[in-house]
Amino acid sequence: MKKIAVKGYVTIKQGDKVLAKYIGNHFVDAGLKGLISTILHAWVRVVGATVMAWRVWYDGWNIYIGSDVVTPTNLLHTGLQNPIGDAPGTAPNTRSASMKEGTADGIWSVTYVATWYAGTVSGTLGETALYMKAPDKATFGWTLSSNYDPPVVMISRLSSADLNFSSFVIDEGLPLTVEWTVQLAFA
Amino acid sequence: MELDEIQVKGYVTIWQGEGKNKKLIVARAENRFVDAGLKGLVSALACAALSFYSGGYLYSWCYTPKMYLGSDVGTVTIHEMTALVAPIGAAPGTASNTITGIDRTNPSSGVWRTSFIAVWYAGTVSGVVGELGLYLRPFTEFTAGWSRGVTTSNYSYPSSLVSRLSSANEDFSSFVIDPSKSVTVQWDVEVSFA
Repeated sequence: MKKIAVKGYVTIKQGDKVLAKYIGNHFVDAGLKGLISTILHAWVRVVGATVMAWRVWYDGWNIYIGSDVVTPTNLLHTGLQNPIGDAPGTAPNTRSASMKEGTADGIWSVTYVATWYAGTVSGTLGETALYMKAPDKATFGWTLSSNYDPPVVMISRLSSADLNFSSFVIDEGLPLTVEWTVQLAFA
Repeated sequence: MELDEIQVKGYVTIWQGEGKNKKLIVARAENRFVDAGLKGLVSALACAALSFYSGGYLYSWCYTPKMYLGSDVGTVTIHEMTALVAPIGAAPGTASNTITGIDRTNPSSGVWRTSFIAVWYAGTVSGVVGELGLYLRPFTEFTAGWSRGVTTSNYSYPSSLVSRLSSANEDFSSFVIDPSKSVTVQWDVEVSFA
């Protein structure tokens, strides 16, 4: 229990075909910074009789795919190298998420699932990335009296250039599904 | 540096005294996290929104952080722990006279850090220190995309033990407080690549 280990695993499927099975991702700096920023948060409040909201992490999460096959992930990466579609990429047609409690096995996780319908994306899939609204405040005990809606940023990437999986050409006749599990466990 | 894993770690440094009489008692001993801290971080990754209507406050993680000292020297930390075993003072323990913090820093590439610094004035605590606990207010929800609305009533996540340093784990050597000197504890929390 000397550390909490955060890992990410990606599964990519087309129809019944599994093209990458629970492969470890590479995190980038935005994920690290966001976790510390979360811990540093003290309070939020509304001023006056208005409605406001603090939108973070899950709000606006997304998964994008790209065609790059030569650029390994480094911690300063902020986006896919060569997204499929206009940057940050073609959004999936459907998204869903679920959580798993770790009472039995000590592994707690959130799984994000994105699906592109058949024919909506094409080309070579060599990279994919998970984007979330990581908090970006750096002040100890930061507070807010206004809406807070930090930008959606890339927090982790799976790349064929890291030799994490083999790139493949998308079969346009089948839907494409990417499942991204972020798990936390004692280590 | 391996990017396939983010590690959250905590390090505890303890001094007694001040100025040139400040004596280092424990140097960056590694803490052990318990369930509330881990679950709070998972919960954050599933948080969609906190909404507010006319005047409510919502308090979380770093609102009134606390540290407590305890005298237990025989009980190792387990993940289900929610409190110190034998706090010094009435449970959850005698609060420090001051607690301050350090903004997020980036001491080296791939490492982000914050620190909590608690001071007990001379004479306010006494006895053997065999355990210490860091208490924060982590999120507790466990549904993907959860949100919480706050209206005119304030809402505060409970102050919970998130990590513990224990001599029973042999993570530091217990010591007897010199009541004529202040006790200072710095608890560094670091997020880094493996």
